[in-house]
Amino acid sequence: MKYSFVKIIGLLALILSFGSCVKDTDFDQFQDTLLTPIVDLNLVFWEVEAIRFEDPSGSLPSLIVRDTTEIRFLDDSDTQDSMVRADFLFEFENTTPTSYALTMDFISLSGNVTYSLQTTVPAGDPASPEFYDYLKEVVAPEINQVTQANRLAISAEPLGSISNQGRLTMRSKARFYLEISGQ
Amino acid sequence: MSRAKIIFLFSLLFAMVVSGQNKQLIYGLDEVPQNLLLNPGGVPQGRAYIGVPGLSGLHLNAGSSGFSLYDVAASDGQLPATRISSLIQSLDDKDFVTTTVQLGLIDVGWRKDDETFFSAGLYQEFDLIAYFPKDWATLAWYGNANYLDYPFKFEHISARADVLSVFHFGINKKINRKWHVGGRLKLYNSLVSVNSLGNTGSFTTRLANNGDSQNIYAQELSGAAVSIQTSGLSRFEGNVTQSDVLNTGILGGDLGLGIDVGATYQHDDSWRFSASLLDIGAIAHGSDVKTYQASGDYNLEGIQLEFPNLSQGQTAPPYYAIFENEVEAAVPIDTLYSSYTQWRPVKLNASATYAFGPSAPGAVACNCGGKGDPYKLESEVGIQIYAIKRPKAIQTAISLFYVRRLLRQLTVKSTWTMDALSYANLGLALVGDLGPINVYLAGDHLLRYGNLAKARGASIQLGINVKLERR
Repeated sequence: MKYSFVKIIGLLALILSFGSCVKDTDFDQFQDTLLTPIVDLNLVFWEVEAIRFEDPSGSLPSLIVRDTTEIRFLDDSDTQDSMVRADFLFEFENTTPTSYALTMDFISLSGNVTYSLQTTVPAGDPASPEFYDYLKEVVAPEINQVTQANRLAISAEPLGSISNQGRLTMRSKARFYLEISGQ
Repeated sequence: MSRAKIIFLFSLLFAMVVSGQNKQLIYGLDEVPQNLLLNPGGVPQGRAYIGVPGLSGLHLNAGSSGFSLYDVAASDGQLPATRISSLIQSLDDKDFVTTTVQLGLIDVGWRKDDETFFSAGLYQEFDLIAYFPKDWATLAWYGNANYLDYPFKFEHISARADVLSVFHFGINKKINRKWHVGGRLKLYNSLVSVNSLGNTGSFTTRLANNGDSQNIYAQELSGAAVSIQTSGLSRFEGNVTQSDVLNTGILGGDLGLGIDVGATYQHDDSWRFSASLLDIGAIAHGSDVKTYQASGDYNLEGIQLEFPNLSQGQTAPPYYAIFENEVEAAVPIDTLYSSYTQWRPVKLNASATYAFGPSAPGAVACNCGGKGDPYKLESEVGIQIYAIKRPKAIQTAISLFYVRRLLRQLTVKSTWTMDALSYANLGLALVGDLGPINVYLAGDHLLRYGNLAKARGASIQLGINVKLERR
């Protein structure tokens, strides 16, 4: 009797110890697995009165206005590794009778412009604003120039005569396409 | 009660079932001394027992309610990203993974007289439950671009892990030939505890509307209150010696008190009913406590440029730093050191057993006078119910079982358990006595044992005791 019991217990222990296994699986495949999130983020927004383009000294016909902000996460090493595409959308509303040349410069820590976008915002009217969207899809290899930058500088230059009425406004967002490997 | 109501109630029960710390194979088995840990009002056998230190009761359990390893990592030629996308879609925030390890270090029991049995001991336990953070997995996997207007909820972040040692002393009392009742006092000694529970708030991206944002989107963090409570973590930082671990493991952690209660009612020689409530108690976490907490509301509009008039040499305002400061002010991340109390996950066991067949091998041939101890029969069938209070719900499991006393020294119990992990969880326990040596070995999810990757759970229990029979 005792011998039978020992045999049964021993058999079950053997089954539990050696009979079980994990098969038909491959965990190495996750080294290549990509998370591919698409992330939408607000970027910068601003509003400039038309009068701001006037030169107070009167020596110039108009001024170019320019402002800069850091975008610290852009040149982060994780961002550099994972960003494969970025869609930048700039939405303008122009209530001045002047068109403007807009430049969006991506600037590196060392001060170099790594990537630049240019567009022209058509003239509008205080009574009939001009709505203008500018969409730029940046893919490889240019995307690497974007992720070398950690600052965004925006400048607006009036094209032609300026008015002291109305304003130019901009809203913007970025859609980042990321590919994150399992390694 | 109508048949429809009965079917509805059973459907509800089956929909909620889960295993977790369920020990359905050992519960109700008088032949295993550690049965008293599952029901202090069980029916202890023998004069005394002592568990082999470290081997008196080992319980390993791991499982997940919504997927198996195979579902995640099958080598079936399918792209892993496709498989994971499908999993994220199919799982919800009530799905979870759980792991429990219990190790009996000291386990003794002795009979005071015919009616009274004492038991005492020390065991260590690691218990983890982590719910699937559906919304945040979705955000990480897909991003927010295709989820405009969808609130990603912080309540989906819910997890708890505890490492503790438990000193216990129990009394089992035979009231009469029908009733056994018992209670156990537990002193909890928490070594490490980490949890993130009761989080609230959400993050939503939507197109700006009605002036709620000056930019294209209103990206709103609304009513966020997220916390992580920890205790005991720094005890194991730096140069930790074995004696540090030992001292903490004995009584150097955060202490708590709890009780177990239970009873068994032997209706007649065939019918037996039992129930127990375990771990009704709490731990006061007071030393080495850190709670990391973030709360607040914020509408992430982006960075507003001002195009200031700058003189030669002047630089633009530090917009990004201002933006970061705004976020930190609106949603401060604090570290708190105040103590907190945490309830243990209370557990319920209950069973109804019907015994039949000839007398068990080695038992008296009949109980002809109807007096004395109940008649021990060769076979038993019955139903068991298990429930445990978990952070998001009371989870239950239901088991049908069959016990057969094959030999004088050998008892076999098989179970069919339905829980959130599986509706076809078959388990088998063998209990034997080799002279004074009592050995038990139990495992479940046996149908998946050929390939554990396809099992949603696995559980093994084993133990070795020395038992002294009654004179």
